[in-house]
Parts: sequence; C-alpha cells; structure tokens
Amino acid sequence: MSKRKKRAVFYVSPLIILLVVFILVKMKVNNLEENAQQLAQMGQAAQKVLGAYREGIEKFDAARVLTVFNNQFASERDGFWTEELQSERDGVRVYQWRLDQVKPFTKADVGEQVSRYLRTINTIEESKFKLDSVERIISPEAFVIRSFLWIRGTRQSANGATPSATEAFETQVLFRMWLRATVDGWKIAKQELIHGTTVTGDRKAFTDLWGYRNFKASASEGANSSAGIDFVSHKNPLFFTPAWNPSAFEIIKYGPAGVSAVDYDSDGWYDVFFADGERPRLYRNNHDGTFADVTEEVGLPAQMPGINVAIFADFDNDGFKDLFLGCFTDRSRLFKSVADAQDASRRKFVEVTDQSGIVPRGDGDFVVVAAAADYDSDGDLDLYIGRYLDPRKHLPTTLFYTRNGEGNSLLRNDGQFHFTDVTRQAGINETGLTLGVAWGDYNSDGHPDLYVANDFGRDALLKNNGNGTFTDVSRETGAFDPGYGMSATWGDIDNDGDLDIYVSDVHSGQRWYGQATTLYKYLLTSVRQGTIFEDLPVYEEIYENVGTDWTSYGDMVVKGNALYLNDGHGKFTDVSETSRVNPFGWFWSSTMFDYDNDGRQDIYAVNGWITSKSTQDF
Amino acid sequence: MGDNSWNGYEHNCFFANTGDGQFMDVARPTGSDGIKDSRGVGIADFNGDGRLDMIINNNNETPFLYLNNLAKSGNAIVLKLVGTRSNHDAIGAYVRLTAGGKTMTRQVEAGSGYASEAWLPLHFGLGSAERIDSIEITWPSGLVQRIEGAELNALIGVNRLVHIEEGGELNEMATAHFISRTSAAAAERYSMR
Repeated sequence: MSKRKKRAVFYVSPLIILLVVFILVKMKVNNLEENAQQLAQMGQAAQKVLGAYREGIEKFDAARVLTVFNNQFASERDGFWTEELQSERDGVRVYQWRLDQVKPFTKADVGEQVSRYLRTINTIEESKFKLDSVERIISPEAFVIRSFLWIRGTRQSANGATPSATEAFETQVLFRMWLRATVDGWKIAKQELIHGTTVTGDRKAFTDLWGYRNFKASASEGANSSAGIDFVSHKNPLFFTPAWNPSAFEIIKYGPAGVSAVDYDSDGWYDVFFADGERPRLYRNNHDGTFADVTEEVGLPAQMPGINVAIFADFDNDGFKDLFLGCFTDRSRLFKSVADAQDASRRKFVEVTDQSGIVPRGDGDFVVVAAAADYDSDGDLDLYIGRYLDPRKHLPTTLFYTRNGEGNSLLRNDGQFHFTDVTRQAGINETGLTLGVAWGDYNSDGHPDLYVANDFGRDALLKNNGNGTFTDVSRETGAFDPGYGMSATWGDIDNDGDLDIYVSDVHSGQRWYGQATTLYKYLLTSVRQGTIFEDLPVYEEIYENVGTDWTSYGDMVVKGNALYLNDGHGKFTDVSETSRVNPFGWFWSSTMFDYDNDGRQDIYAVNGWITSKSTQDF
Repeated sequence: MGDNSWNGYEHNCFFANTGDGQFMDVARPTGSDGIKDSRGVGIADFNGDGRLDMIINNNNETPFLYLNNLAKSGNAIVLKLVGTRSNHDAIGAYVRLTAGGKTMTRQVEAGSGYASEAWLPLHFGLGSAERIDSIEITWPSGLVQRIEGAELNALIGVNRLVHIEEGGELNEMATAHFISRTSAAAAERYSMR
C-alpha cells in the first residue's frame, strides 16, 4: 500500500465508522419515535372509546354503551356483575365485584350486563372512565388496554329499614380490554373484569365544620367559620409583582397552603396554624369547642407573604415549642417562644432570625417544606428544609428527573437558637424540586433517616450513618420512587414493628400517552433548554436504573402514589399496585393515622391540583 | 390557565386499612371526600375524645376542619412522651405497644407529608381490647424503657391520655381520661377531659 493510500485509510475509516454509528443511532431513535407515536395514537383512540362508554353510563343508556363494542365481540369467559359484601362496619359497607352466570359472552350479553348494573343505580353524580395503560400492542389493528371506571352516586340503601331510603355509593372497576380497528373506528372486541369494588355509607363519620359555631355538630349552622376558624387561603401577592413574577414556572402560584396542628401554649389542647401566601394565622383552641385567631396577640406579624410551611419545635428544650417559618419569596424566619410579660400563663413569639445563622438563598429562600429531628443525637432538634426552584428563572429540566432546584439544607442546632448549615459535610446533595421531607428511623438503629420526595421525579432515602453523614440508599433498599413526589410519610402500616413509607405522586396514564413522550424529545428539550451537558449525568443515571427501556420508565414516573413495605432488614417492597393506594389523581399531603381505632394505620391523601371555573381539564 | 382546571375537581382519598394488605377508599362513605384543592393536612384530637380529627388547608379557599364523629370506634390510648435526656418533646422516639394480639409501632414526628405537622402524642387504636400488655419506648437518647405487668395494669387503662417521662416512674397524676363513648352524651364530647 502506498503511503498516500495508507494516509487515506487512516483518515477515512474512522469517518466511515462514525457515519455507521450515526446511522444506527438515527435508526434507533426513529424506531423509538415511531413506537412512541403508535403508542400515543392507540392511547388517544382508547380514550375516545372509553369516553363514549362513559357517556352511555351517565345517560343510563346501555344501547349507547354498546356502540363502542365490536359486532364480533367475543369473550370466552365473562359474567353478570354482582356485588359480594366484604365488610360492614361503622356505617360503611365494602363490596367486591364478582361474576355471576359465567359463560362465553357476546355483544348482546354485554348489553344485558350493563343494563342490569345500571338498574341498581338511582342517580349518578360523577363518573370517569380512564385509560390506565396500553398493556400490549398486538398489531397495528389491535391492542390491549387496562381501563378504570369510576362512578359516584346514590342507590337504594342496603339497610332495608325504609325501602325508599338512598345512600351514597362509589364504584371503582379495573378492566382489561382488547381494542380492534374496524371500518367504524376502534371497537372493544373482548373484555375482562380485573377487579371491582363498591363502597356505600351514610357520610357521617366526619363532619366538615364549616358553617358550625362550635364542635357540637348539631347546633348553630350558618357561621362564617369552622368553630371560629375563619381562615381563607391566599396566593402570594408578590407573585403578581414584576420582581417576583414567576414567568418561567407560573403554576408555582397554586402550590402553597401548609398547615400545623400544634399545642403552642402547652395547655394540652391542640391549636392550628395555617401557612399562607399572604396572611399566616394562628388559632388557639379555647377548650370549649371553638377556636380564636391569636396571630397578632402572640406577637406574629399580621402579614407575612410567602410562608409555605410552619414547624413548631422546642429548639431550646424549655418545654415550649418555638417556630420555624419556611418562606419562598423572602428569608425564612425563626421565632422563640417566651412567656407573656403581662400574663405568664400565655405565650408569645419573639423573632430571632438575625442571630440564628439561617440565611436565605438569595432575594428569596424557595423553602416549601421542613421537618425537625435530632439527627446527631446531641439532645436538641435540628432542621432539614426542602426547597423548590426559582420560578422566575427556571423551568424543571427534563420534566422527569429534575435536578435544578435551589438545594435543600440540613441545619444543625448549635444551641442558643444558632444553626449551622452542615449540608455539604453531611454528604447530602439534594437538588430536586422538593415537596416532601420526613424523618424516620427505617433501620431502627437509633439514628433518624430522611426521606425526600421530589416533584418531577426521583425521590431519595438518605440513611443516617450515625457519624454526621448520610448515604443515598434509595436504590439498594428498593425505595427508589421515580414519580412526581408531592409528599412523604412514615408509619408502620402492617404492624410488623418497622416503619413503612407512603409517597404521594401523580398518576396519569392519559397524559403520558397523550404527549407521545420519547427519549428523542426529552433529549431535544435538553438541547433546546441548553442543559444537555448538565443533564448528561441524569440520562446516565436513568440508564443505570432502567437501561434503554424508556417506555417503562415513563410508566413508572406516572404510576402514582407509592407504598413501600419495610421487611425489617433494610429492604423495601413496592406494594402500591396490589394494595390499591395509587388511584388516578394529583396528590399533595398524605398522612397515616388510625381513624377508627381498630389498631391499623389508615392513609389519608389529598388530591387535586387546580380547580377553576371550567370543569374541562387544561 | 385562565378559567381552565388542571386535575381539578378531584376528591380527597381515605384508604382504610383492611389488615390483609389491601386498602379501601372510604372517603365518600365517611364524608371526608372534599373536592377543594387541598394541600397540607394536620392530624390531632382537637376535642379530646380519643378520636383523631383533621385540619386541611385548601389552596385559595377556606379549610376543612373534619371532626371525627365515628359512633362505634374502638378503645384507644394516647401517650405523650416527655424527654429529659432526649429533646423535650421526644421527637424521634418510637413506641411499640402490644394489646389485643397486635404490636403497633408509632414514632414522634415534627413535620411530614406536604408542608404539614401533626400533633405530637402517639395515638393507638385498641379496637375491643380492654387492657394493654406492654409498652416499649426507644427514646432518642438510646434509652429503651419497657413498661409491663402490674405497674402497667395499675396505672394505665384504656381511653386515657398518659404522660410518660423519659426513664421516670409512672404516676397517676400523669394520666387523664378522655371520653368513653359508650357512656357520655354526644353533645358533651368536646368538654370532656
């Protein structure tokens, strides 16, 4: 080979290799893109079918329901829906759905199935029929989905006392459906009941006290308060000023509304503090079934914009709870509880922020959540605070593994109301958009560990090593939640002696398919936002977690609330699906408590993002 | 956004623990299925009747104060821990209480959920159990305190709120009855303590 030829090969062959790699990558990306588009189209088609089905139900019109069924409909094994009483307690009845007269089903049988069910209902107040997931694509003309039917209304009471009496019911049913393309569009060709439940009750276990003058829930309706609590939540007025206009991430305006149940004056009766965008309020429990606003009486400012969270904790161990107020648009504040000079039986709050060593991130502090614990076992309470992003400057990068938050802080209590930020030396590097922080000793070693729930993906379980440092053990313990974390709470849900974790997230099958989200598009977003180089480690981490199966990662991100059971040996099992604690919705706070004193922790989880005039979703 | 909703008009959920690894959403039949855009939730027994109530802050709206009226709920015991070597409110302590064939574990927390803080006392539902078999407290200081046998039965009955000091003796002054729902008129619930 001549020298010239050799040189040509030297230069050309790497170019050829590069070209081949480029073409292969391009083909792979195109392939992914095509798959995702097919998935999205099928998802949209399924939503249309379910929408028409739901309209038929709402109009009590079985014939209309049948319009979405294929004329050649054939299920080898189906039956008429019946309800079997599973439990009856405290006015609440729980029924499991069963199939009756099981046989091969035709379209006519489905008509009878739906008609029979509709006859049990008196009125329908609300109904939804949602796409849970596209399970399998059989061919371009056929695919399998899971769908979720949800009906609320009234029906004849099962009490039997008065035949005409009605009671509230709610039905939730999960189906598997085979959809097939026909000349009239997509039709259901086969279906399977996965599970169904109906609950009924008298709605009397809890009374919403709004309108009542006191706890005697039978007296004095028409009050403009809940037993004296006349609070109304406000948006932060600073968000409507040029300096704080959250132009990059406008929906931050709808986030705030923290709350604390606190016995601030240590009289044994629990009081209430509302964090607020404009006017946080403290209501004292009067011991007579009423509350009174004492915000200014205890020395707190009448106006404090941007307060998102209040943590009442006895930072100086004097028997009275002090107060940390986490703020978004200003610095966070610390107050010490002191005896009232005029009346020693009453408490006042004196601000000690200036001497506290607690400094804001900039012109704001972006704090959303906080929780106290004695992480270093020195006898006083330390504080972990969770931050979001600066909504004036930033959008969440990637939308599913966001790490461009303002960064959380671990504040060590040095005594005398002074704190030192020890985040870095503790080895914590949490820069997600944090909406939940909860201390819990998951391995019962006497050192409180920390769970951090992050919006737009990827929560973290941080193990307290007992020497002032923490290690991220999310993956090795099995507590890795890739969802849109909105809150976290610890509790022994199965009475086995260790703490389990419940995390609230967003569950939205439809949104995922509707967006045709693909690897390619994510990468493009990163490129467009100019964050591709900072995001590369993120893509690498996702690759480590799930490999190249991005569709399944997408499913995990929107699969909703998660319950992780602790096995007592440092491992968690995700039982969200089987335990049925992850319905559709957009959840915020979640909490475990035993509402019916049966010795088992129940879970209350609040749901709903932005309710506005139109019932149509954005 | 304008007038559009975004995952709006959603009901809060109440997952009742059935004890067999499953949960049933009983928000609607129990009347706790508020539709406002709820955010933070605070739990406490506001009227001292041994049943846990809820205070919920709703974005851009008035709050929910849900008073627990459950007519036939079981017995309960509530423990308020007081730290001496540990921090005063014993944040981080965990208690394992055995009664009626169950061992329940609860920890003292200051802040959890979303921007929320619950009351500090530890509440244990006892169902139909009339006595407690043992209480084991692991204090943040590392001290493990076990109360059982004669001492426990002499001083701690059900339907009481009990103060327990770290490493200290139990004494009668530290306990207070809350309502026994079978004997008191509903209208007087809130004034009982």
